[in-house]
Amino acid sequence: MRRADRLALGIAGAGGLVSFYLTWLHYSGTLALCLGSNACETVQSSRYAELGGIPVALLGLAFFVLAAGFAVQRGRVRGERREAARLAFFGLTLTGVVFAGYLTYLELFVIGAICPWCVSIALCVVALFALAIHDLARG
Amino acid sequence: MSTRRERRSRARASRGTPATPGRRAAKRPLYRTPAFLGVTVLAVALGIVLILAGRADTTPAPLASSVPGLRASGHTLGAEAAPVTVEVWSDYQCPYCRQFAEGAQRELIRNEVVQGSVRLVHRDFAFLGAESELAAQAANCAGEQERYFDYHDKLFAEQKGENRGTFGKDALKRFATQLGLAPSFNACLDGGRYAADVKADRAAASQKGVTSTPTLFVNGKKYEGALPIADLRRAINAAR
Repeated sequence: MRRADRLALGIAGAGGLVSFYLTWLHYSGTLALCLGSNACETVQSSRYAELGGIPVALLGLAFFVLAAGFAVQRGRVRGERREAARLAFFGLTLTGVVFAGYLTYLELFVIGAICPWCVSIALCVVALFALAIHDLARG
Repeated sequence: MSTRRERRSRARASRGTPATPGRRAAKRPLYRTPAFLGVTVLAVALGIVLILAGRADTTPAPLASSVPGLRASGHTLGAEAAPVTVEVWSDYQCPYCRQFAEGAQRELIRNEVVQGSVRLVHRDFAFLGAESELAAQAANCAGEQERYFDYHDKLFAEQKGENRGTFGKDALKRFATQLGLAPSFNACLDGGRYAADVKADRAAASQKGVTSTPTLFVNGKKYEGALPIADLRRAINAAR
């Protein structure tokens, strides 16, 4: 596996763990460990924490699982299937960046609270998108 | 000794699958293919769909006063003779209070309260700062015009952070205008007509052992936290 793929796998793993934690919090109703602020509580209990009844954290978990799958796939297959995996990885991370950007805007300007866990997830999404761009730029 | 560019080129060639040297030479980079353009458009479109789906979820619910068959009197909704009384102690700046008010409580109002089996009483435990107290006073002022629960819903719908002007006097007056309340609301709020009542409610909460919000009393039995509707119905059934 290439170094970039291993890096993508690591980032997806980290983002997946945080998403899993936030998903568990959502269903258990437990308060997040939030570095002394109540911003996580505000964000976690906001009306934007769900999308069509599905917790946004669960969507994040699905995103990172898929991203990890494509990252592994890129290194394992050859030819057109590899190119499809690279494009899928790019498309997935682009969708992730658009949605994570919107969620960060909500935190900053609508909900009025910044949850460090959500910021860390957004950073993981941006990092994966950067890796996808880097991969495509290589030709 | 080969250059870095040459080594990269060789490595790339060994990874790819050039069927013939001619095809390899003619191959365009992935980011210049129609497939890349298609994936980009699709990904952005999917992102926008997700955003719009989230926005659709935030459409405000109808006001309490528009629910058919709902009887309101001051802080109370529902029939006096209802066998179960659910007393809700909350703070308008508390996120979990909003979660409860817009979730389980709303479901309860539209079913059990309208049907007459549950009476809902809202009490103020305004402990999160000056704007919590002002918001609670404002709801009482709206109550003078029989719009207590409309204002209650409006406050939770507008909740945004704590003590940062969201529930300042100007904002509270704007909410009243948006709800079509009479100008007497402003005089009530400016005069602090319910300041003592809100403080008295807080003192009463402490006497009843309320230490966090939301706290519910279902026929006197205490439950803490934003109960999901299933748990709340279990508590109501146990109280009958």
